[in-house]
Amino acid sequence: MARARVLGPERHERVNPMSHLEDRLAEFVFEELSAGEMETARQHVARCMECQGRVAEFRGVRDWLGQSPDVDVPRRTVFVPEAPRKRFPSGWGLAWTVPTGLAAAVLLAVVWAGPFQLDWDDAGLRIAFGAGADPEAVATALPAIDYDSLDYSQIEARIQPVVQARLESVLAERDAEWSRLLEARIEASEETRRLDLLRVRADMGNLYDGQRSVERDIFRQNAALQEFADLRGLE
Amino acid sequence: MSLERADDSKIIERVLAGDANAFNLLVWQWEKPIYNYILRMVRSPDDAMDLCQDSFIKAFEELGKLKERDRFSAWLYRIAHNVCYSRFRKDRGKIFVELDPDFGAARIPIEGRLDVEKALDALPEDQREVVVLKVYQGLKFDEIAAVQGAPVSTVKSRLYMGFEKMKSVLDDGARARPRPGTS
Repeated sequence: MARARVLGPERHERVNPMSHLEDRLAEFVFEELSAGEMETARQHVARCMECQGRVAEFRGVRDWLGQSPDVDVPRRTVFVPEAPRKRFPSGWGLAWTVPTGLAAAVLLAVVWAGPFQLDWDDAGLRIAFGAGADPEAVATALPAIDYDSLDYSQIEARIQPVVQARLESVLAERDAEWSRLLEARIEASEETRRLDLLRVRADMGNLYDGQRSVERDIFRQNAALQEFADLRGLE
Repeated sequence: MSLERADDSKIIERVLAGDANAFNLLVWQWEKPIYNYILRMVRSPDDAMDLCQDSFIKAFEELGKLKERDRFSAWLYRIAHNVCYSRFRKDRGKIFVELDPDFGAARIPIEGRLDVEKALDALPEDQREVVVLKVYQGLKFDEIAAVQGAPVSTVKSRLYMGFEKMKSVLDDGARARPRPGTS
């Protein structure tokens, strides 16, 4: 009964108060034993000079290693995920061959079946197919143009609105494109700002952890000093 | 503003939901510890930076396979461990000349730092890794066991052996150091 009272709850009875720390030394120093086991181990160390020596040596090496603290990362890594590539629907790779093949077949059939010709009387245009087409006949079918008699102001008056409409159309497309680019840029900028904010938060978290770690070390050292002072007091 | 770290498992959920940019948050949170772990293993800052990036790229690629999301850090260290040991296997038999033994000294000029680094260098890779993961990275024994793929008892043995060698270096240094008042 007396032993159970010293060891605490049943599940903590792995540490015998009379035995040395042995392979539990590291877990004791790094405080990985359960609360009950830690208490039992502390009681043992308080009474056992051999274990006190081993704990002190172990802590000495650990503290000595602490003289080489972490360094900062030389440059921060930022991953830029690739935009997913647009893929054609499945089967598209073969589908385009059907209309292309048909068109080629029609063209071959027309050339093979020639000679024949098509005339557009209004435009004075003639298109001839097949081996029998006469280049002379095609050439002479073109109407003769008297450039001196052309009314260029009339032609300009007809072209002007077409050009103007085309220009306005192009400018409108440009405006729309600029608007899209601007919006995309603003979105990207907001995303960057959001990520910057997250990074600052993460950095501050690391800083906070570092400070806590220092505080814990100071606390441990004070506790060790206090423990040592208590031990000296007991002697 | 809260100074708490963002929860790894929540970030992982976001990444897996398609927000690939959120992975950068994991990088920012873990880059420094992973870099320092790799640096203490390979000793070259440039190599450490490359291997650190390789580790995160592998983590990004394999993130969907991570089952226990609350154990992300141990999983990430495992990836970094594999990356380091892959490099060790590749470099086996090569002889390296130390060009810059004083890296990082400008920032933290602490006496004895180089002694520590040299003593760490002298340890076999598996012992050095346990010492680094335990002392500097603060991993628990079961987490180190998961990283190394070894039983906890083996991990503890490696720590004791490593510490024993460190202690002998420390004792030698103390003997070699002139006592105050003597020349």
